[in-house]
Amino acid sequence: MKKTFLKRKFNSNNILTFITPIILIVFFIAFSLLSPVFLQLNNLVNILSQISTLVLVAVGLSFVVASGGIDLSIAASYGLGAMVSILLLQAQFNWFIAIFAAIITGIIIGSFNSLLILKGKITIFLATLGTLFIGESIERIVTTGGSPVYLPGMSPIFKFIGRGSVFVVQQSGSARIDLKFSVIVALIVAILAHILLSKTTFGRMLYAIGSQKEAAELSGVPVKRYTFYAFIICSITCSLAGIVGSSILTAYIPLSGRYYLMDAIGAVFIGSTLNKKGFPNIPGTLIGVLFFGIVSNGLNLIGISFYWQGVARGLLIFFILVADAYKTKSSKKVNKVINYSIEQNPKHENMKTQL
Amino acid sequence: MTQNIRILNLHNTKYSVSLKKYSGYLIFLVIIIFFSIKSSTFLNSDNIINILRQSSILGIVSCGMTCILIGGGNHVIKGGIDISLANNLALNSAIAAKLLSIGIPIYWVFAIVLFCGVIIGLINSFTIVKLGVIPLLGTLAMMYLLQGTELVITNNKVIGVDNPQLAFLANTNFLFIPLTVWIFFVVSIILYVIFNKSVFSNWVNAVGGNDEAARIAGINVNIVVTVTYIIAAITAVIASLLITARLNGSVPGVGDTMLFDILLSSYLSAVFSPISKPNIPGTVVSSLFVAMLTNGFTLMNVSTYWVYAIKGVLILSAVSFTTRQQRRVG
Repeated sequence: MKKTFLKRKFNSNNILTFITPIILIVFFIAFSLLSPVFLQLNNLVNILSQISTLVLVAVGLSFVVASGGIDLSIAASYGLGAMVSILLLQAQFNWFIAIFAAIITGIIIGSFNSLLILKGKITIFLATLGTLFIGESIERIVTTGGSPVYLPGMSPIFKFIGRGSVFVVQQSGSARIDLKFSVIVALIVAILAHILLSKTTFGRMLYAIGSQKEAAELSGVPVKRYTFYAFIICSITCSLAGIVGSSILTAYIPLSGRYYLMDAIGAVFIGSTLNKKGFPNIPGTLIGVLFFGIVSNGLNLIGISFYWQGVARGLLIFFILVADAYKTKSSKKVNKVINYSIEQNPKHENMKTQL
Repeated sequence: MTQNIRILNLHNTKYSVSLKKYSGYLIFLVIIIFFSIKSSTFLNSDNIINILRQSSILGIVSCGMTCILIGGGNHVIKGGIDISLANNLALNSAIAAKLLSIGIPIYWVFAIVLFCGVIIGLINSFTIVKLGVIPLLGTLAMMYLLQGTELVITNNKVIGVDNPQLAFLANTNFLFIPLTVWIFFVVSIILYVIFNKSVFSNWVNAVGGNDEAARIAGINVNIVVTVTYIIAAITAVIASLLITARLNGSVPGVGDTMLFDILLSSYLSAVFSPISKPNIPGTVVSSLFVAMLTNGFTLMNVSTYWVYAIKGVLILSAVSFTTRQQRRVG
């Protein structure tokens, strides 16, 4: 029994399942060979704090994608969350009220989306695109055309969310390891989301809706209610990302949510290639985000111009996609061979279990 | 189930009241009347030509995007979409401007740009058809690639072009209507014939409705999907030359601003269809609709900050209204 298990673990075909993490590790090694700074602990911790906002946005998006939808309004949730919290802080409100109001903003955006999709019967793309336009327009109106709001003297507790150091080690050299609280926030949210998606009925229901909506409806899943939940969770997480992002910058930059939109979509879908069934999942999403973080940090350290980074990023994603396609093809081939041999000789049935 | 939905939709089309079928067009008319009451200059021939001119470039690319939507089906995640289309346009505009500023003649530039665009379309369709990547992710990777390439070529600067042929393209009127608008007209007629009146249209609609059924029925799904992506790329090439002509060069970041407008007018085209599916005539009307809203609100002296919000609310309510009229299934 144990032998079979080991065989299954180290089968060459199964190694291909982990092609994306393996590629990530290859990049990791390549960057650390090319740049001496890359592998230093303080740089790695630095990468983590750079990606913490993208983690939050992408984790939120994973819920909607799991339910078979897509949310383009995450950029608006991010921007409006940041805007509301910073403007309230500027008006001398308590940090708690600022955060609370930002979360409420997220809930409103999520409900607006699901109202359009469930009651208005608008296609998901068009509905969330409309929300994006409206949200960004509100950002423009409030900031009179997009002038940033700087708030360096913000409430120290609010500042702590993004900039606060949890864990500082001063090394003998110049290197200073500084783990930010934003990383902890992102980690906690990611773990909660992972539990919610993979260990609870809630997650199973979402996946059921995502894989086949009609079948889910017929088997008694309250499709509308769960779609609503998915959009609400997504918007709340994105507003939270807005809070963290504005706390890191101690400022609110209007329309900055757009920077996260495409990266978040990319991360979630790269993550879903990790899953055997192609479902979006939190560990995969995290690997996708880590991929973006490592690539941009590594390219910066090697000294590649910002202009080339888009090219590199696109090529690297293509690389992953090709590898992934090869994986699915080869696994199909193996299955074909097994099925053929079972047809020829029924005794080979146990081959299937061994592989 | 998709098949069921299609049958229900067709059923709905056949017997529904004809007025309800055209509720999208009715809203369009109502808004025209509203603007013409609010602003005296709105219905001037100059202003109408202006709206046509403003909508033509967006309309051409949106028609290309609609081709992909028709062939790719309406599944939210796995359905056809090309996020790289706007950046395809921007990159080709940059290449054209760069080559023209070096002094390469316009027909060579056109050939090179067309080649680049078609290659991009081919790579997109290769990732989607052969590698089996979902279009959203495959074209997203392409988007990053094109965005980066455009930055590398232009160094994030405006490239000015002073070319007599392009100036001719931008400034000439034929029968009182700018050449750009004529090109929009011709492109949309050609695409209308391809996607509504030809044998190919049957194939594309079959593939979009249910690709498995289409495959069993003997349609070469891969080729049909590839052709839609290449057509879209060609529309992007045409639009890139027009935008280079209109702006007298290439402006960085044009792709990022246009992407969502393209998606908007392509998805909006479903409103102008009795079966709520993206279609070419609907795309033409919806790109006119979007340009008209911007133009009308500007004439009414509404601040530009507000325009997107009002546009968003109006479009969403229009879509919601018509889809409820059409009683769309699912």
